[in-house]
Amino acid sequence: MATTVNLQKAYSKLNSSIVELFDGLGIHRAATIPHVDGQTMADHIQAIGQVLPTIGGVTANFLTATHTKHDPKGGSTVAHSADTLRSTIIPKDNEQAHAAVMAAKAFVSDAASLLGDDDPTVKVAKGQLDLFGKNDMAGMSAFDAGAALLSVPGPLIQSIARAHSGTKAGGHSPQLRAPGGSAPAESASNAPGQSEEVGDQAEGQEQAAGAPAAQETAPAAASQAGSAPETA
Amino acid sequence: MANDTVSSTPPDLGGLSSPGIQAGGPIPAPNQPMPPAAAMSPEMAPPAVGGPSSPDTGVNPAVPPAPPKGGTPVGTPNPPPHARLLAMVNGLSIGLASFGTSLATHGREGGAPEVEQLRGAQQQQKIAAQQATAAQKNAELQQKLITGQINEGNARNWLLLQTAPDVLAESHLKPIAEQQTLQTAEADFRAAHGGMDAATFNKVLGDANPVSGQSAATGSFFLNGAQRSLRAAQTAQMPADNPAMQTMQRVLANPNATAKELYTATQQLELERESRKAALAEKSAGETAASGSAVGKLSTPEALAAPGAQAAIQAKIDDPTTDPNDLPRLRALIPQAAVAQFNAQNIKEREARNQQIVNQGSPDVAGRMLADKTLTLDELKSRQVTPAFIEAATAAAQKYDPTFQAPVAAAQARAAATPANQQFFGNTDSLLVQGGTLDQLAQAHASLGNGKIPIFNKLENLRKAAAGQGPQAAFAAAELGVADDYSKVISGGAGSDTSRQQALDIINRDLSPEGMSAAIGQIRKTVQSQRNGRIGLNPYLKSMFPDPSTLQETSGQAGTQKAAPGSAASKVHANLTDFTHHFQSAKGMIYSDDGTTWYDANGNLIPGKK
Repeated sequence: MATTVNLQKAYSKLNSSIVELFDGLGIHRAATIPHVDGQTMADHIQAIGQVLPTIGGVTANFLTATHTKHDPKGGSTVAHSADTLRSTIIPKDNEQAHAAVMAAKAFVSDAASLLGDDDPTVKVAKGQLDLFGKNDMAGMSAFDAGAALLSVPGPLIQSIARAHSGTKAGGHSPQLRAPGGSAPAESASNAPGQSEEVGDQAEGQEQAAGAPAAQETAPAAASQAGSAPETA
Repeated sequence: MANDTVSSTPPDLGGLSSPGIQAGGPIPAPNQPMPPAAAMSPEMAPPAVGGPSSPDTGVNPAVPPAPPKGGTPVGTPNPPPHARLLAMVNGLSIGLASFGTSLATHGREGGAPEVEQLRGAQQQQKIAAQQATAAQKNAELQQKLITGQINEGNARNWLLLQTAPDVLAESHLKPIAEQQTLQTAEADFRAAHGGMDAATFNKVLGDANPVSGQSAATGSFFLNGAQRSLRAAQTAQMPADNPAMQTMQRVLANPNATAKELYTATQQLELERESRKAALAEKSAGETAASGSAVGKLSTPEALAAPGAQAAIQAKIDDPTTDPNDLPRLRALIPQAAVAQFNAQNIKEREARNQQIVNQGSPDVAGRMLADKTLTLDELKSRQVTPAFIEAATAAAQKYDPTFQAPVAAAQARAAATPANQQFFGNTDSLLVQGGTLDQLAQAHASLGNGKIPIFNKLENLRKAAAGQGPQAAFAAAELGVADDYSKVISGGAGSDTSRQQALDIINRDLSPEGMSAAIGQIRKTVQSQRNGRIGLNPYLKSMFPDPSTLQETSGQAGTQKAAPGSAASKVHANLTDFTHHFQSAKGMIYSDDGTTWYDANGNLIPGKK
């Protein structure tokens, strides 16, 4: 059986480790918007939209979000003041910083198992981790550390999403399309945040277990960040 | 899609933070065209806001709004205290300072230029202060932008992650075609391994418990595969002393055999069988290549059936330049040529007789011969007879034999005339015909003295000995000829070394005169049995390939035995074999055309023979 990885779980773990790093540095949370059981994604986005303007908006706060299913606490969107983060320096031998770097490495390792070690994005990600992960980010500001940790997975996630898109009928690979084929309906109709239900049966079952996908908190941050000009 | 969450060259946003006129001075106004004179005319009426039909708003744009109660309008900055006085003192100080400088330097410095210079310096200080403020605001905005971009990147990551399944494997990222290839490969693997996937199969192979303790499906896969492989090897006549065969039999006999042992034995046996198959194919290719040699050319069916073939073969044997290795095969060709010529002669006679029947125009005669299976419908049709003639002949045949059925007869006749049957009966008759290879073997054995009988228990030894000279070489050649013909008969085709070895084993079992006679008898009986089995219930086979024991092989004369000059038979046919019927009887070979009048081997009429 082929080795499987859970990237959403790994990315949630990375976000929660960043939250713990900030909390451990004594930086007060500007807001914590937990996911309420049974809450839909739209409701959670609305809750964040109501909170953010009261704390300076999306450009004045560093947002992290954990997965509803993979966070032991049920998932939440946490805001830390960006100014406070910039003025806080990570000390030497900080355990939370070490844990955050390890979480980032775990994510990169998972992604590498899918993309291969020769993939350019994997090489870049590993290089970045080696660069700022040395000494567990001691001496960096908390803001820079958080930004660096969240920047590493981005290209990897894009590569994986692109590769997975190519497996769909009518995906980005032209040779997979039937002559005269149109774009798949699901690409237009799927709501943001709704996970794909393709793949083997095990995937479908797991997805069903985590349903409704709309309850996941991450898309809430996505929507909120996307509407930054309105809320700032 | 943007990859960078944080931009490396942030834009200058200073202009956004300080709108309005900058400290550097007023922006020069563009050359705007003057308004038309009418617009500047005092007679021009004030604009009617809202139009005549609109309700009166009570606002007259020509009259400035009254200031609010309390004095200064809202938004008007409060001037610093004594600002005017301070400005006057400042200007006076600058003027006096410049005047003093001018006096002290006798007009070389100071004066109005210095006043301008001081004013410029003040202006520059204001500009620097304003720029510093703008840079600070720019930096603040950059930080806000970066924060927003990081949050947006985090959100985008979540969004992209959720376009894929929660749990991912590498196969999920492969295109559909590759996935299908993988699925096909797995399906093929399962089909070839009893429904097990690779992981299960490896697990079962690693299980040290007997396969009998496995599940029924798993156990039967390994057991059945091993048994099937063993049967295939036995069918392929793999020697029983082959190590792979012995290993397989030992493993199958072991009730505690593991899956790995069964699978390994199966693989080894299959490998052995494939190797033998490849070796035989290679050998066959070599024999095919050898068919282009002198021996090969003499052994083609056409060459063997040609008149004088035996003489040509004998001449080749006597030729001192002939390769000694070819001699055994050449000697074996002589009886084969005799049979081939007899068959050719038989066909020729049938054709002549058929033509005669057609020429006579008697459907009744044709029908009688159809009924007794000495004539086939195809033979009749090949004579270009009319459909009416064929119909009449068929009707006549049914008169002689009510069970005669034209379609059945035609099918049987076609089956009898196949090249495969021609080859088969050529091989059997080469052994069985009088003077054939079996008789040659008996003669060669008889010519050996006591104690000089060699034992050729291996084909290679036999081939080497047959290439020599003298009685022993003749015996070896005869033995080789019998083994070759026997092999072809038993295998129904080109023969194999295995079946040749079987014949050799029979012959070498007992080389005493009695033992040799018994061995030859056994082979004759086996071949005759094969022959009878092939003929079966097909009467045409019996007609086309008559009993070879009635044939006499005489070197150089088979198929062309001439009737004695001046004899009664010579008045009918020049050659005795031209007669339609020839049988071995108490009087020896007898010949006839119509089955009524018979002649002996000397061509004399046999009285009273019906």
